[in-house]
Amino acid sequence: MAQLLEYKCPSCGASLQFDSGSQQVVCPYCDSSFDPQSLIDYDAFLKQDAENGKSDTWEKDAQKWTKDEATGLNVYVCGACGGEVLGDDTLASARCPFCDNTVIMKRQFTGDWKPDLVIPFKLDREAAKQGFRKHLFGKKLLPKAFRSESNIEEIKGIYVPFWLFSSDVSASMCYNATRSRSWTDGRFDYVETSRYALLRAADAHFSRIPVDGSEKMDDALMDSLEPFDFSEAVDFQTAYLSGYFSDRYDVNADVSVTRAQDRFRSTVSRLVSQSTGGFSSVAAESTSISERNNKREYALLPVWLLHVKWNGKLYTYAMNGQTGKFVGTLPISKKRTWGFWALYAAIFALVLGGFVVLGHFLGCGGGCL
Amino acid sequence: MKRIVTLFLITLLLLVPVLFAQADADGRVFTDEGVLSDEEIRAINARADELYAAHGIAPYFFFYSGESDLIPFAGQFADAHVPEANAIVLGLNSEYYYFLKKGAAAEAAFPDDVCDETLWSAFQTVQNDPEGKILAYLDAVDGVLNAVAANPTDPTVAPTQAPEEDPLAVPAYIALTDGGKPTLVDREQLLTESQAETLSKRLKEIGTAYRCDVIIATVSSLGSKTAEEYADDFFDYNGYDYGATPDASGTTVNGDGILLLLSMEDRDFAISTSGYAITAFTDFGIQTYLEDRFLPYLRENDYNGGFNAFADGCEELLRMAREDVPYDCYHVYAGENAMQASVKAELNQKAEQLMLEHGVGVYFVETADASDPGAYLNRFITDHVYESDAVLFCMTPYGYTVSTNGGVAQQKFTDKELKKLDDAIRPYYGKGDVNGTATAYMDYAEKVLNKRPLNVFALILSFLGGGLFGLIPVSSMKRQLKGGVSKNTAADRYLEPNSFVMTQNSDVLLGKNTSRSVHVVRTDSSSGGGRSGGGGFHGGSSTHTSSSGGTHGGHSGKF
Repeated sequence: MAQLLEYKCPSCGASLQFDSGSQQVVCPYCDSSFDPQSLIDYDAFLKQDAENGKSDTWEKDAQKWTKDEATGLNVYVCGACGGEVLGDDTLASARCPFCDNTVIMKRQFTGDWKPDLVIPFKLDREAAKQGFRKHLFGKKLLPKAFRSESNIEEIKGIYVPFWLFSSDVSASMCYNATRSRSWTDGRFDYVETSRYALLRAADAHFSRIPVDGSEKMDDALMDSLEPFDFSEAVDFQTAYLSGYFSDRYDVNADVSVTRAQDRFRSTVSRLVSQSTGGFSSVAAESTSISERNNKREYALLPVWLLHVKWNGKLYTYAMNGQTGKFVGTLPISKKRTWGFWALYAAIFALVLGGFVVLGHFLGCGGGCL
Repeated sequence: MKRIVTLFLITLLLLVPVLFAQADADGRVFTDEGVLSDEEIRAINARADELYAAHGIAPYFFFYSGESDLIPFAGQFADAHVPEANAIVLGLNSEYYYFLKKGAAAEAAFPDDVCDETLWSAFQTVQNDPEGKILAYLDAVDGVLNAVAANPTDPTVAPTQAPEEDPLAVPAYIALTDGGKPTLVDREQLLTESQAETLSKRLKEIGTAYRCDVIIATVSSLGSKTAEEYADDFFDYNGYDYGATPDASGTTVNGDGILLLLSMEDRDFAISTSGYAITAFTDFGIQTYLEDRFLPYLRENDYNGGFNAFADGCEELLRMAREDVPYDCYHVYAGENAMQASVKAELNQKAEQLMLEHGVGVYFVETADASDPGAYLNRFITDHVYESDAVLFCMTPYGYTVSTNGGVAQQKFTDKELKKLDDAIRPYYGKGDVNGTATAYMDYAEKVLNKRPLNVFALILSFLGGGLFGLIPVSSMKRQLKGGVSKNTAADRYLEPNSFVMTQNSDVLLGKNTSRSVHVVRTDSSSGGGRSGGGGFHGGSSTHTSSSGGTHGGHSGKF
């Protein structure tokens, strides 16, 4: 039995939403705004109050989950209007397609699934649209029609589940290196080659390498959204989810950690190898890297996802909901590519040809090329 | 003021030797005053007169303590005080001694080693007695001359005499030069009797026709001489003096002739020219025209062919020299009155440079012979144009003709270019300015030759390069469209500041090995290109002086 969580406005009873601009929970109908923490306290009080007053809890009970085996979809019933909301296994919060009510599935945030951190949205939907327009700016090979004809099919603010890995890394590496010097005594040339074993060990601490824990999200796209500023992260509260979609992780930390390991290993190896200068040849012989004091955290990070349909194809763009960094591959116009190539080729050919002609008249007959 | 005094003193100093020389103008001994008493001078003069009466060679002695150079001073002395044709002079200053020999007899009797070893040591053996020293020197002169008179075949008298009894003993069928000497001295008998007879007649004919002997000699070895020395001496000591005439100073100049000498021992050859032949056979003529004709035969041991080719070549070169101008590497031919020598030299140099750079001879010919310019030019081309490609400008009092010879020249000097040439020379030509016309013509030829066809290959290459370079900005535009999507492979950003600490950093020396190889010294060998055409020749004939004092030109080598 899943529990759907929603916050009601204490003033008018409408569904509350988290406002990224003011970092407050606001009521879209009566313009009241509330601090998330006080709202949580208020909510707890209400619950306690309800329990104390033995009031009916049907509201929560009324939400029934049925598993649709055939489609892998879950169907839940909106607490506000009774409409059916479809979602997959990982859906944690959504909007009801009938009454636009925010629905948060409490079950997705309990036990192992309870996030440790959340970075609240700082940028709104309008900023995402603007980000997209800016993303198109200055892209010379973009098909002209894409600017005018492309339709943003959908803009979704999603809290994407990320694993954050922190670790003390110890690396010990061994290199084979040679250094040679040469001299002559007039009769013979001498080359002296000295062989060295370079022993290197280093410690380093990495904190909060983010790895997205959602199967649905493209790894490269999510990587490209980095960096997030974790100093703005707060302890998870469901209140932040109001008005946004969110997923729970479906890629295990044990699986995700390999990606983080690859990344810090490559950094450590590079830093250690910087200390091997001054030799004529250096070859890595052995590398051993161990991690201690490992810590993993489960965080929800804000991402605006845009789906753009153009020419029958769907293009996905993403914007960091905290920093506004906008990423996503754009279509390329073959016509414009050839056109620009021809333009530049002509310019360069003219310049080079000009040198040939100039050289001819200056008397080197093009031999200077 | 000081300067004037110094100048005056220098002038005085210069006059000093002349002054003392004039003081005793009639004697044979001259010294600074006070060295010898009048009595002593008289005694020495008497002894010297005695020697002159006996041997016909007058001994002289002078000493001066001045600082002017001894050898020029001795020359001045001989001019001023030695009227005799043959004399030996011992000159001294405070540092050096010098023997001056005047006349062939003195020259022959007193070779340098005799002067040094006999005369000078006799002078030196007497100490602290000026008169005794000079008399000892005169006694030594007497001794040497007596020895020469007793043994006239002494090698010191005729050091350069040919080694064989009669070097010119030849069979009767050999034709003689107009001077009565054999034209062919085939001591090695490389030719058959009939070949030798035919060849010698031919050599005689050429010699008579052009008043210049053409002689061929073959010997077995050169002895200790070089081929050049041997050839010069063969000419000088065997009396090939046809046309020899006394010059203004009364001495006899060498005869006119060219000699080809072969020595079979080391296959040496030498060509020696003398008199008019030096003019007719320039270095360039000998080394490019003549040798190219006969050496190939000699290399194949075809001596008859080689000698006949030599004769043909000589005839051609003599004909050119007598009828026109000697064959040479010149490109500019103009009468001395028509063109300044400096302009001529400059243009010749430029033409040679053009020939070396482009392989095209650029000729300028000025002639008063305007009867048939076309025929004149054709003859000129056959005679003087040695390049296969050439352009010729022939200027006569009535007009000019331009002729292009060979594919490259015709390709470069198109009708269009010749039209422009006409415009370029017109301002000078119209005024009859030969210098200006020649200079303008040479400048224009240089411009034409320096024009190169546009390098099509380089142009194509630059278009291809343009296409390749064009990819650079386009590929960077393409990268933009990737929209910043890429997987992260490193975690530099998540490294805590200052948390990276090296805990070990040690280099362990495992071992050394040393290899050695022979040290090679590299030297850049920038070898110049071979000689081609007139390169390296500067026109005219270079000459040297043979052992008999005669002047010769020529060339020698191996075949």
